[in-house]
This record gives sequence, structure tokens and C-alpha cells, in this order.
Amino acid sequence: MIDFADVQGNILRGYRMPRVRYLVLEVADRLAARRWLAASTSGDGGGTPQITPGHWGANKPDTCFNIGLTYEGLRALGTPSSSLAMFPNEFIEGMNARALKLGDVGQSAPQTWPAPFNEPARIHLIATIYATEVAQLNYVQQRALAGGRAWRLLGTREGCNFPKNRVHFGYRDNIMQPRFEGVHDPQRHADGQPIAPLGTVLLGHPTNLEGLLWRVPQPEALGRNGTFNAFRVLKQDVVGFEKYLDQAASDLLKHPQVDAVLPPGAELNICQVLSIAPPSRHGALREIVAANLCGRWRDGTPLALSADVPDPKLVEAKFDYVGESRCPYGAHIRRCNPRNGQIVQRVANNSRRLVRRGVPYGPRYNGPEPGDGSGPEPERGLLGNFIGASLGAQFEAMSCDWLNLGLQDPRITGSNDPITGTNDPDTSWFDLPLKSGSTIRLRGLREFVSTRGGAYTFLPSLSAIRYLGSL
Amino acid sequence: MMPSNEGLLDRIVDWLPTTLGFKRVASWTLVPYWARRTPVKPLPGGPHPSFQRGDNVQCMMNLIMPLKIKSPIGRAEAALAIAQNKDTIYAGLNNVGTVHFARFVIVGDNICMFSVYDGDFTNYIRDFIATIGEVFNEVVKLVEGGEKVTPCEKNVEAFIQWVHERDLYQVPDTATDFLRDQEALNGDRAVSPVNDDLTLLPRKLVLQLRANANVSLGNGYRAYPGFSVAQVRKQLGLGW
Repeated sequence: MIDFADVQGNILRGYRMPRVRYLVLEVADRLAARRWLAASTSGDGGGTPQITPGHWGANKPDTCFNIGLTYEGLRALGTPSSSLAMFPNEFIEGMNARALKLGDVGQSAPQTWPAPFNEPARIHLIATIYATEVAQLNYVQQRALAGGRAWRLLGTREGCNFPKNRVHFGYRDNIMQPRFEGVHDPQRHADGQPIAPLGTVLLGHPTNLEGLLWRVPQPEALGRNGTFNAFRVLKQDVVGFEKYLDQAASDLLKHPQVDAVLPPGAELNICQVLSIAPPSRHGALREIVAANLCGRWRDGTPLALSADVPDPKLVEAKFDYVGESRCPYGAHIRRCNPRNGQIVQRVANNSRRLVRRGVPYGPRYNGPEPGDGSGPEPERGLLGNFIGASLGAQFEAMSCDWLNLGLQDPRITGSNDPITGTNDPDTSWFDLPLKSGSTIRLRGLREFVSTRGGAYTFLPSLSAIRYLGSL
Repeated sequence: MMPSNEGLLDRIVDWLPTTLGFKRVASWTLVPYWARRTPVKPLPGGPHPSFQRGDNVQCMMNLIMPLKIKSPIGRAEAALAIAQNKDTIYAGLNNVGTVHFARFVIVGDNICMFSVYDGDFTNYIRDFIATIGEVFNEVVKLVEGGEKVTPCEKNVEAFIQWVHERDLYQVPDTATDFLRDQEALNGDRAVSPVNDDLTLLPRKLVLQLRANANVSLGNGYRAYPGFSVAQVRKQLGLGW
């Protein structure tokens, strides 16, 4: 039985608020910071913003406020060393130290991250504000930092949702999330995947790996019902991605098997559904490539259900990868979550699932700007939260062996994720499947997503926040 | 050949360290003195972290675990524990899917597990725990300190760390790279122009092999480029 009032909000159910701001904070005064934590759960409704729990009753608040603590933050607050030692290694070492496992190399290497992520030891707490209006974000921020004694503001990051759950690169996102035992979420539908045990996302509960339990940092009030978050600032090269689609479509047009990819006349249907005007074979091939790289058409239709043409009615339909699925083995969503499809690590099916809470940042891309295109592109990307009870068994396991090595299927081993992977155009490849069972190998994929910051944080329960406040 | 200007004293100084007597005296006195003056931390075991795909398949694990009972009886118990679980081990290899081979060897009063696996070490051990954790428990209970991390299913993080700590340090193929590993462990303090001449028997290497008494020399030599288990099985039509 889960006590929703003890779990921070946005973990078991999403807020679905359009705006978010992250405050990256350093402890300025330990005692003041502890008092601030105690006040954030006091329920008095004034002064310090109140932590939003997983259950808010009949009235959804106008703004939500949550926190995550880094290992350095727990240390700075004076958490007993016996408790600190019980946190998992990956959290203790921090995201920067795990760069090789996460594919944060080259332009994604932590050494290239801008402030405040260039000084990971100073990042102690990341506070998150969700709201509808910027003025609300400002108001909550001002309350959170009132007095200026507890925290030193190192930096902020801000994001804003696009209409219809679209994200940069033009895909519809936030279609599937794990559904949990005992958690009713009216906005989540049955997607054919097994209900996830609570231990997927909360410490102290049974996990997806039968009989395995993750260590709960003690005392119980500190660890139980907490979870871990990989907060990532992921820059997206939208211009580069669109150029790649152009190039791949042009190459396919010249390919002898192009009619197997796009039968003559089929472009009309694709262009009509996706509102591409005027319809063209090149335009349709761009969308076919985009769909195969992701595993969904950009409108959200899963390729596993409709590989030849997008069908909006199927966006939220149940599907799996058993049998002869037309979804490429190397497609992004299949790499991240192979569902019940055959994979090398047979015990790992459904065991590396994560709760994803992401919001785009930067201006939406609306095609090439007028002019010579020589001006710098504004930075845009995703502020991503990848939440799970074990960073090592879920986020890192997925990133290391599945996204960037392709170990789960011998047909993709040695390739990286085509969208988020650390790809080098000289060596990258992706196999686009044909109906016949053969494939066309696409090459020249670039690193379309690069990491520009991040931190591993512990999302403590409300009991834990009270405990830390009482130290 | 360059003409030598060495005098008798120089030649004695060069010759002395090659003598057995000097080496013994140095081992008893000089090395402990150096170690006291310059503490050296043990370097961590396992493959070197790498983003290169070829480095992340066919990785080596060289696990040396001292038995609690250091006698033929202790060794026999270990041999029986493996033999009695043979079928489960085979089933586990099949289900984990990332193991090329695994060997159990008794050397002295140690039970050793040598294996070649694909991908990340922690994922490999975690998947093994999920698959045949009970075999690990049977073996590890015979090993010094094993009781602290069993049952492994309830001590996943501690068990993985325990195994990692017993996995041998893999001395890089390029001799100077072990200095890089020391630097990674100790920070810039490890960098020093002194005693780094690897054409001689350098003090740093001696002290490191004092801290890591058992090591793997290199990370295994392959006769062909690295492939994953599943790639091999698929190519041979064995199913994967």
C-alpha cells in the first residue's frame, strides 16, 4: 500500500503543467537550509513554498514545487556518514563521473558543460517549480529564495511545453509511461505493457527483478519512498536533424529499392495524414526515415502497428515487439524499452523502465530562417528527468548497454541509438527494414542530442525531507 | 654502440639491483620503507572504462576469493558447491545471455571465477544475481567476508561492489598507462617525473604491485575483433 502523501509529486503521476523552472542551489548555511527543508513540509502555507505531494485531493494546486538532493547536498546538510554510505555508488560518484557509461563524451563531455554544471560539487539541491505562467514561476522562486540565507542560487534552467505534447524534432512525446500497482492515473491508458511494481520507482518496494531489493538508505524515514532522478539538459540539433532527414530521403530516392520503402503513390497518403504540402516522394521519405529512427511516426503512431502510413487512431493503442514487428530493432523507443520483444538479456525485459518527465527548452524550430542562414542557431533541447529506484539498474543500464552499445540484439550491436546516441557520421549506421525482411543501411548519422549539464539527484519522500530538516 | 664512460662504481650500482641478495633485502626493507613514505592505493579491478565499442564486448572478469577454510576440506567444499550447481550454472549462462564462458578454478586456498562477458560489469553481475543468485550464495558463503553480502538478492549493491573489489586490476598493455590509472585514482599528486623511467624497474610499479598483489597482465588478447555472445550465436545459427 502506497502512502501518496509521503511521496513527492510528479513521480507516480505527472503534473502536466506547461512551464517549469529548475533552480540549481548550493547550501549557503547548513542550519538555515535545514530550517528551510522543515518549513517546506510544515503545511503552514506561507513563506517557504510547500513541497507538492503525490496526492493533492480535489483541488490541483496552481503551482507545484519539488526538490532533489545530490550526494554533495546530503553531505552539506550533515546527513550522518552511516546513512550516506548506504546510497548507491553511482549516486555517490555523481553524473559527471559516470560520463563514459552514459555516452557523455566529445561535445557531451562534462568538461564542456556550462555553469552551473561545470562545478558539480557545488550543486546541492535542484528545486523544480511547475506553473502555467512565468509570473507564477517568478513568485515561487522569490519565495523559495527569500531571506537569502539558506541557499545560494547557482543557475536556472527553464522550459515550456509545446502544444499537443510535441517536442523538438517534431515528435509527439509523453505517450507512454509506466503504470504502477495501486496508482490510478486517469490520463494513462492500458498500453499492453505489464503494470510495473512500485519498486520500479520507489525505494522499499518489490522490484521488477523477482526477489531483488534495492538497498534503502537508513533510517527508514530517509530512504523509504524516495527515488533517484537523472536530470539531464539535452541540447537538440534540430537543424542538423532536419538536414539529415533531407539527405537520407535524397539518398533513398536514388536507391534501387526505393519502391520497397515507398511504393509509388503511397506518398500521397503519408503527406495527407501528416499535413505535408505539397505532397512529394522526398517529403514522404523524410517522414519514413524520421519514423524509423524513432519507432513512431512524428504524429505518435507506432511503427509496430502501422509501418506504411501513420494512423492517428493508433497512437495510444496496445502493441508489442513479439513476432515479426516492422519496428526497427534499433529504433529509439525499442532500444529504450524492448517491451516483451526478444532481447539478449532475457531477465531484463521490463526491468529497466523509467518514469520520464521532460519539457522542451529554447524556441520551437519553424524551418530555415530567411536569410543566408549564417547566424547562430538558438540553443534548444529538452530538460529531461529520468526517474527510477535504481540509477544503476535502470537509467545507466539502459544508457550503457542498450542505447550506446546495442547489446540487446545482435542485429544492432555496435551501433548507437540513431536519435540520442553519441554518433559519429563516419562510423554510424542504422538499418531501415523493408517488408521483405531485408534492410537498407543508412549511414552518416550525427550526434543530434548532446548533453549540456545534469546531475543525479535523490528525490526524498516527505518523511525524509522532515528528517533532514530535523538534523 | 655508444662508448661507455661508466666507472667501476657506476657499474656496481647498476649491477647490484640485479642480484638475488639485493632483491631480497630490498623486498624486506626498502619496499616497506617506500610504502610507508608513499602510500599507494589499490587500483580498481575490471576493464578500463571505455566508450569504444570493441572494448565493451568480451570483457574479462578475474575474481579471486580467499576461502574461509584454508585446507583440503575447504577446497573440497568449494569443488562440491560448484559441481552440485552445474546445471543451474549452465541455465544461468543461457539466460543471462552476455557470458562467453566462465571458469571456476581453485588456486591455493582461493576459489577463482574467470569469465568473459559483454557490456557493463554491474549489469552483468546484477543479471546473474537475478538469474542464479542462489548459486552465488552457495559459493560466496565459503569465502572470507561472504556472509556480509549474502543473500545477494537482498544485498544487490553491496554484492556487486564486493565482487568488483575482488576482480583483479588489469594492468594496461602499454606500461605507462598504469601511471594514468594512478593519476585517475589519486589526482595530480600521482604525477611525478621521479622514478617513472619504465626501462628500469620503477618504484611506482613495485609499490602498485604491492598494493595489488594479484593482477591481470593486460585485458586479454584476442585472435579476432570483439563480438558479442549473441552475434557469435546468431552467426553460427545457434539461436540467441
